[in-house]
Amino acid sequence: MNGRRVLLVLQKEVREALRDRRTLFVTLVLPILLYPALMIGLGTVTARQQGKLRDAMQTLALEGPVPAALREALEKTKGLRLSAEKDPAAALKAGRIHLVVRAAPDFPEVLAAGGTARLELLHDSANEPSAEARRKALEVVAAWRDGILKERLAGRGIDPAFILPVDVPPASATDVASATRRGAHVFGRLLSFMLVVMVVTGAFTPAVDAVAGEKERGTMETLLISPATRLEIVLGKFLSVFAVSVATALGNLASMGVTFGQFASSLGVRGKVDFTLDAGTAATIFVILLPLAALFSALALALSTLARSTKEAQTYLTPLMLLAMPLSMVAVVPNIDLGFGLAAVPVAGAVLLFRDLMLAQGEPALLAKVIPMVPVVLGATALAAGLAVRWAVWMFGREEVLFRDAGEAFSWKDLRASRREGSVPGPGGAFLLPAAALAATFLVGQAVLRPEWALSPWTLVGQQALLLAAVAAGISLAGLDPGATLGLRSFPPAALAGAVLLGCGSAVATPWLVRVTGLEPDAGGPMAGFLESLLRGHSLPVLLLLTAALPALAEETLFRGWVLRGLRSEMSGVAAILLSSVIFGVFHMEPERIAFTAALGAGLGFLALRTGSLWPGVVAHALHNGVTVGAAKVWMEAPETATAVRVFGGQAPIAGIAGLAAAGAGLLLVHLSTRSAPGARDSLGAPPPSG
Amino acid sequence: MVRVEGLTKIYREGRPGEVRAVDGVSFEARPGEVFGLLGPNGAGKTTTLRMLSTVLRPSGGTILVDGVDAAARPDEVRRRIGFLSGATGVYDRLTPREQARYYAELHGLAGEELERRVAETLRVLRAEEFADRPCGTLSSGQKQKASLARTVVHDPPVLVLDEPTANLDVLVARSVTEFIRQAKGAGRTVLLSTHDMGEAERLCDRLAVVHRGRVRAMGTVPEVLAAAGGAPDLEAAFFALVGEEGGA
Repeated sequence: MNGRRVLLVLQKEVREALRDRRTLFVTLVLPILLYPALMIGLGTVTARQQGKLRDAMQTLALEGPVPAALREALEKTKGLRLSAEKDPAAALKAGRIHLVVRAAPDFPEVLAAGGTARLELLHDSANEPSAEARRKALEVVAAWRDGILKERLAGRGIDPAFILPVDVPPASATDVASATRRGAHVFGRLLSFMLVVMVVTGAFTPAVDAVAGEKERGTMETLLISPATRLEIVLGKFLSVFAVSVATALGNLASMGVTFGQFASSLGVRGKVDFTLDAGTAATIFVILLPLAALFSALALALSTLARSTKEAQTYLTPLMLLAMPLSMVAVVPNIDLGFGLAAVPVAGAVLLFRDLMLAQGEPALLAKVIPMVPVVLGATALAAGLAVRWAVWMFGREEVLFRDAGEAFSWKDLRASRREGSVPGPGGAFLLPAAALAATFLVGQAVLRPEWALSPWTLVGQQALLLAAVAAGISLAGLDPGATLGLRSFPPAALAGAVLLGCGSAVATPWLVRVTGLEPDAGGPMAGFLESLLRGHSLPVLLLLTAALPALAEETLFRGWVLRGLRSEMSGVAAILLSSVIFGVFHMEPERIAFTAALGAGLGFLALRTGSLWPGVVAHALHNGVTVGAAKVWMEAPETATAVRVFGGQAPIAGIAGLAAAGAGLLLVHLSTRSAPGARDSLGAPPPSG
Repeated sequence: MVRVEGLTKIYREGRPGEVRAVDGVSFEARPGEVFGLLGPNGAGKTTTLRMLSTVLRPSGGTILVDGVDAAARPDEVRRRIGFLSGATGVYDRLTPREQARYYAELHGLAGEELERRVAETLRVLRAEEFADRPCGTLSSGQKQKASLARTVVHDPPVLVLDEPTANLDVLVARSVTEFIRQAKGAGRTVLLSTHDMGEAERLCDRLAVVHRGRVRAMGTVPEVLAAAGGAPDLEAAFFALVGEEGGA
């Protein structure tokens, strides 16, 4: 590689970007100018409208025997006016009045007898003036009530302190959070989220321009024919996208920081909220921002390479935005703690770290808890960025992608082809189908399931059936060969013994690993509740069918059949196994368990490719689930079974290590039993020639 | 000098929907000669020229440019090639001078030689007048000259021109034909693909009629006409050569 040429490409891209005044203005300058205007403008308008509401006049009507003293107090209240509606409740619904003060028919009598009389304030919570009228009236009612109370106590010679044995001052008087922390709590979350959005948007325009734009203008081909290699070109372009992305994020960070600071101090009339970034925090955020920008720049560049035109590139980039949004929104979702597990999740770890860094400013004790996360987040993000750059380079090296007109253009016709012998899905399909199945599960769950069905075993059956149906639909629509796609083949008998060892061993080892790594799932979560009700509600055979046999069949079909063999058609065996197991892990939607699920998935993937068959994986998977669920059932029904408690509570290291060894031995057995086997067995090497 | 032997490109090789875009093409083009690839769209001309300029990997066959094997030393081959196609555009936000300099620098020129080559190229193409205005503001003829400047700024012995006059209006196309004649006069080897029979007749010293990835006839224009059984012109010769498949 020639660094000078990388630099040349970078210089040219940056020069072009800087000359694109309009884009520069819209992506960089406009937002920076807009924040102060929006934030401060919005703040002022809101404050003014609220003031107006307070000062405005609201109408109320009385119903029932409202005492004269209360009536008089209400009449005298500024901003309230009595109206003489005949049917107050109907008038309130029609919006003619804002509030009805309704006294119960026996109100004066109960009050006089020293009892508790009922007074209703009918209001419309979806109508702001009505809510305001209620607030005003409530103040009046409370003052009047306090007066009566005082009279009653005085009548009996009781000190008012007698009925208030404990006094809890209002929250604002006893808050230990500093003004900076309070500011960070509100604005830091928002800023963390916005930073990621800005890194992504900052990468978009230059990425679209750098590859899809050159293709569209017809300059790409000439550039490729220049002495610059593809690696040099793609690195130069990547660096330019990266530079613009970082610049956009920094510009926005500065502008938002200042704006939020201003806004926060304008909020805190009594100096209660403050938002600032100290130099150390800003520098740390900047350092983490670099791999984050690299990640999105590389992803955007790879997608831009895939596109034939800038319009197509924008279409491809939308999903990237959709992916980045939920990952970065964890910063604004309440009650998400940054642990080592989450810290290792790209994007999500970074935004949570941004949030926590801002919260810990000036608090050494808090900072000491946050700092250990920095290397984890940095490492995970850098790793993801490195993979993304590699992907972009790989994409740029593919001639059928670079010259899409020359090779095979994507066509919907491909999806309706007649069945072709030996054909399997491609990597695109490998990603698409699980995503579609997940979306379908969610949508069907939302649309069809009633809440009371959520804990029904039929939900499980339905989910698994949906996965099987998705694979069947994919195979038939794309005209694929079911045998080749799923691996419906025979396998060496010794491999079955390996599968048994793997399934049982992993079931025994997992609780111990969970305990050792501290990644225990939330015991009070909805999943835990669901499992418990399942365990209690069904006999062991039914349980094994529901949670072991059926999921093993469905998930193996999807993940070790469709996904793994789809990836394998254009990837080395090892890469296909790793990627499919990550998809498998993510699909389960349990953040704490991703690593374990993925590890099991990798073992099962090895089993599927080495034996060339789906079935050993089904056996191992069913055993893993079955042993786990069976042990839980035994444990639940006989809590005194000490062995089960120790092993499946993860408290027996020996059992855990033995389980790991058994799983490893199983894999070794599979490896040995398939080493000299003919035909379908996979050596896990390079991708098959041209698919 | 360019020599191509048994060049083949297969898309989706060994998979359903396999396409043999180029199927055993051989020819030789000499310095000071304009060699044409004549054929309809989809005949495999562009794929052949892309393999020649090393951006597509051949499925089979060999390519020698100035005696350099394209498979073994693609970088050396690229150094010797100037490429232009009818779809080639310009960088709207760079000036013709900056664009020419960008490519000259990518080709490893530097210092005084760089400045001399850029200035000379712009002068020869009579592009100096608008050399410092952004390409986006130029007329189509001026843009074409900016493209030509980029193509020859590194003084390549071989020009690869893929339908260079497609999409151009008559006046601009004429300046490209003029450029091709000049290049030939300067002793460059010019490879030209076209589907325009008239252009082929006017410009090419020798040509190969290509259809469905194969060479159907090769030689000077009179030789090709003779091979087609004494056809009156290239168009008639083409249909005589490809026969019934012609309409496909």
